[in-house]
Amino acid sequence: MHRPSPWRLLWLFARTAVRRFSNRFIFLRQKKAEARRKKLGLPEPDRTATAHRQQGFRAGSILVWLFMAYMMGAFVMTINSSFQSAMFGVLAERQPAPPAPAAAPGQPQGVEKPARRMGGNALERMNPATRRTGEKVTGLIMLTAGLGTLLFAIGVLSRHVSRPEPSLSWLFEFPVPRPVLFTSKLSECLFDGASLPLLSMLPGIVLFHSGHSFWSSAGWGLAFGVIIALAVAAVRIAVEVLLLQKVPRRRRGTIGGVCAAAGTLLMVIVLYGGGTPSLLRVLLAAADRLPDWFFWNPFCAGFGQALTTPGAQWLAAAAVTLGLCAGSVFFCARLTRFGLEPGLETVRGSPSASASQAARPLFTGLIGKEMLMLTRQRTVMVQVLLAPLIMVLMMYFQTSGRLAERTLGSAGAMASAIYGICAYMVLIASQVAMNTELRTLWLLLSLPRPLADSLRVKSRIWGAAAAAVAIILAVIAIIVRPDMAGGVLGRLPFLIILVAIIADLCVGMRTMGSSIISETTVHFRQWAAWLPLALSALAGQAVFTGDAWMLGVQVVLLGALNVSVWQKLNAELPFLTEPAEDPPPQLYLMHGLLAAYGYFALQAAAVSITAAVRRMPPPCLPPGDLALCSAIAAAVVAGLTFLLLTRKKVRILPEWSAPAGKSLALAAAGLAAACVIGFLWLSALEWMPLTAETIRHSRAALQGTSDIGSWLGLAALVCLVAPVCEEFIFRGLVYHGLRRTHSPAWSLLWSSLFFTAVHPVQSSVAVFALAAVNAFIMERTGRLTPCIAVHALYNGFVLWLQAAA
Amino acid sequence: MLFFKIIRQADLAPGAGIGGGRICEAWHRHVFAALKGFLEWDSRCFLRCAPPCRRPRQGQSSSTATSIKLEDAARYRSPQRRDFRLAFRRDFANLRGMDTSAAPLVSIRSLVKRFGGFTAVGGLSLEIPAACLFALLGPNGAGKTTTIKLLMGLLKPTEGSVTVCGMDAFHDSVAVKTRVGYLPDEPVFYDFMRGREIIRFCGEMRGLPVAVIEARSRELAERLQLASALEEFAENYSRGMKKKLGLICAMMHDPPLLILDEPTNGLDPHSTVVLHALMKETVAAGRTVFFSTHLLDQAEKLCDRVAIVRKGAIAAEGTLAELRQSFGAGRSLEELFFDLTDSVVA
Repeated sequence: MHRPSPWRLLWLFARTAVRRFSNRFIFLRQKKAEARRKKLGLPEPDRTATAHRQQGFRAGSILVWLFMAYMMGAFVMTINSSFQSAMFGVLAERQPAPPAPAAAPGQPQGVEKPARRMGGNALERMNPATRRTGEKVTGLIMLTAGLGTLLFAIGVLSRHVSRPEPSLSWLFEFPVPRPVLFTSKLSECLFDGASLPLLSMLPGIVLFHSGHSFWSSAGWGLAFGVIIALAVAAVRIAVEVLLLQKVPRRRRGTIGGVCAAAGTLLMVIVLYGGGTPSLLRVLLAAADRLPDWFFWNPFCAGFGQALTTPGAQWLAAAAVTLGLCAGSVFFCARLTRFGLEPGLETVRGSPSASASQAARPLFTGLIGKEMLMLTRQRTVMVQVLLAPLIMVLMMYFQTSGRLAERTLGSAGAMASAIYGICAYMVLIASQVAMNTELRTLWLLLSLPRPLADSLRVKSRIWGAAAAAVAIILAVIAIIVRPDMAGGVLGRLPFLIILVAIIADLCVGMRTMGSSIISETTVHFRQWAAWLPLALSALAGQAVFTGDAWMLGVQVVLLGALNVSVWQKLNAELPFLTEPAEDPPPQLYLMHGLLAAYGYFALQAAAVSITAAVRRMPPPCLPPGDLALCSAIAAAVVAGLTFLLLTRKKVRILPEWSAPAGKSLALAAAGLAAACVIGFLWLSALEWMPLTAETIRHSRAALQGTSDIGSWLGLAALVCLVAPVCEEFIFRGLVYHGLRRTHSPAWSLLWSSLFFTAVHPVQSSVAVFALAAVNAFIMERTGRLTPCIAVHALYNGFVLWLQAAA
Repeated sequence: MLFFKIIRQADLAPGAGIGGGRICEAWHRHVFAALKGFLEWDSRCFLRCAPPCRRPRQGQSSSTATSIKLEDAARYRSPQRRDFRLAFRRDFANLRGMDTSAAPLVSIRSLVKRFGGFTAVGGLSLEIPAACLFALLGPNGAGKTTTIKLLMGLLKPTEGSVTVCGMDAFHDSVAVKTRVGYLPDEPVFYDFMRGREIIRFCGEMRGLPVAVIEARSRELAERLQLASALEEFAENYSRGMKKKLGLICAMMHDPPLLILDEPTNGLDPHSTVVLHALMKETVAAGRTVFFSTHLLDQAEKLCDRVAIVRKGAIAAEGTLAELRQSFGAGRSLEELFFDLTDSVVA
């Protein structure tokens, strides 16, 4: 039997690992593949719909990664600055710093970048012994962070804690020496996911922030990142193989879950406690007692001392890392010398359990299956349910630090902290939506139920669980701080509704962002992780302020987005297992929502550009300019959407339309109704003390513009451009997108609510009436022209009322 | 209205324990049952409710199909749900009854399926009558599994049509699946569920009451000799046991059409004999069994009609007698097969 040499095998495995990493940049390799194909004269392959199934990054994902890196960098810098200031305070207790010299020798450099060198300067001015203790404490913090990352990786990222990975069991059949096998596993762990780039970016960012130059911080950051990634990978595979070989299958999930929870706890301690003097004092005491050689491990090496560290410490860290890798490889090889998973008992149902369980299970159907998954796959339960509770305990035991003020300072802060915990729970839980169903999709697809419904059950369970946690936390909060009971209770119903909507939204977006490559692999788009996070953060801001209108607006916006996501999924999930065909192009509610959000984004951009050009803050801009910005944004968005949809041959308006006479009659009736309601609402606003001031102010501003030209311009914009674009987007796109799958009543209600939510609060009732009337006219006539006419005349009527009163 | 519905459904839920007159003692059970009813109301509504059909509004001609489609779709929230509810309403009373219409159960017309440049199925035409044991034979790569996936609505035909019980397999797939039981080549089950829990899950999702599920599954499991292993987690089953479990799940609701992808692949001889007997009994009771296999001697003993597929097209179709008549009398199916497929890998 021919045995290849171990060096050849190592080379092959290393090349495979690098290829696995470079496959993520497959869109770059495609150009090379095309060039090679042209050179060899091979026929061009057909471009099928499978192009969207490729497992790899595309340009959009790179942008998302960059954004994520920026966010993490900003976060790390904030944490670092708070840590530096707290550290300086604690060390100053030990030994007061000598007074700063007026002209430091490094002044020319300091003048160029003053802000960033502040932290470094403060520590450098101290006694060398104190500085050394400070560096030790930094090292201990990094060690804790590294341990937290490691535990988190074992608990969350390890793929074969519950069963051996199929490729591993397949490779074991080959005459390959086991150390070589595990070295390939090591390299795979190293390149897995984002570990290497992220771990090298974060220390680089912190070094750059502490004042080192760009290239040196990048270089040292990369070296540090490689060392940490290698150490984490080595320990990770050792623990995974240990769990696989020595621990019965039942307990592996629990251990994985406990590791994930412990890792989260450690990370929270580091991130939030790093700025707390109490924790730093504890670490100082530990740093005093620990010997010097303890700090020559990979996690403590050179952080913060990069350019002043003697080479010996770096060498020692590298040696320890390589030793760790070699040790773990040989440890794994020794553990598996009798094969993978030798003779561990299969999990059998115990006879005593069967009698009681066979009687009546708690829940039936899909919900019963999800509850079984929750109770039996303990990794999921521990990750999702335990980790937020740990965070709560952490927050309550902190007596000082900015986080305590921010979370316990006021009713709004407390409510938003509760909301944050529940939203975090739901976000993490939604990650298992598609992944657990992957191999058993055939079972769900053979049932007489659309796949979208089967997956939506998960959101129901997680929404209910999050709502229960919110209620429990609110009760605890009220008991602990009875003075905030009113604020917390007032926000509680909105909180529960928001959390339920976000559960649905997260599961929907996660499913939308998954494309199934094979039975065991799913490619996940990054926007589906960050978009729900951003949206829930916006809603959290509304919870914090407690403004009822803002909360209502968030409920309506998130609800509309949720409806649109599930509408698209309902239509597109039958094509999930179909690799060669795309779903037929249709008008979805999502098109209307994206147009509306795009309009607001464009308007904000236009307003800020105008403000920059005129050198005025946005609220002081003249109303004519604001109207112009809105008009341009509306026109651009409406035009773009119309072009895109027409190019895809999507029909927006229905094919039938009522006769002209009926449309005219309906339009006249609708206009009369809308004008009456508008007049009544305006009078009511004038009577009510709260809003009378705003009305008078706007009236004065209108009557103040005596210039006929600007008046005509304003009138034209308000009565001509705005109605056309708004009607196209809201009645043309949003209403018909809803109407595709909902009854006329629900479409009218939802589209009118959405229209009201995007207008200011003073005009809410009148705007709702106008939207309802227009939706009714659209339903009955199927034309856009009457709606535009009604809107334009209504706007003109209101303008005349304001100007002539 | 919803409140009464919840209470009524909670009453029907297993394990609710609502006894008459003891509300005060068992109030927590009522709360729990109401919560359960709330969480599960959608699944129960899905299975039991079927709203009435709507007539087109006056002023709109019935030929404007778009408006009616919009209305119907609007009522039923998605085309698939609409079809399922209509079909369920039609067949609710006789879901397990015999479909004795003369029209063929499955009708495949000029089916073409292309994956990019590769044609998996090209111009397949087949009619499967009711109460028939139909075998699909073919070499590896001939398109048997692709045809079965097209029948199940997992793939969309590039050209041609697949009609099961009068409904299109892809567009009305939810309604089709009420009448079909499916067993794939390699069934994989949830690793956190026991065998009997999986059977119960499948039965509940089909709308069967618990008593029927338990009786039927006990009977099938005893015949297939799986009864002692039902307590184990399905993850630990051998390949044959997984097939048997899949078979129980597929046959539990007594569908008019059973689609089995290589059913005896992995079963030992005892189980094969039991499976054959089961298949013959099912056909004798008026159902149709459609299975794909490459074990020619078993197919010869067992089936009524045979279709031999080669490179995505039908090479021969009909009863064994008809095949022998066309291609030469007195030959075994094996010889016919080798002749028709040129004994070359398709």
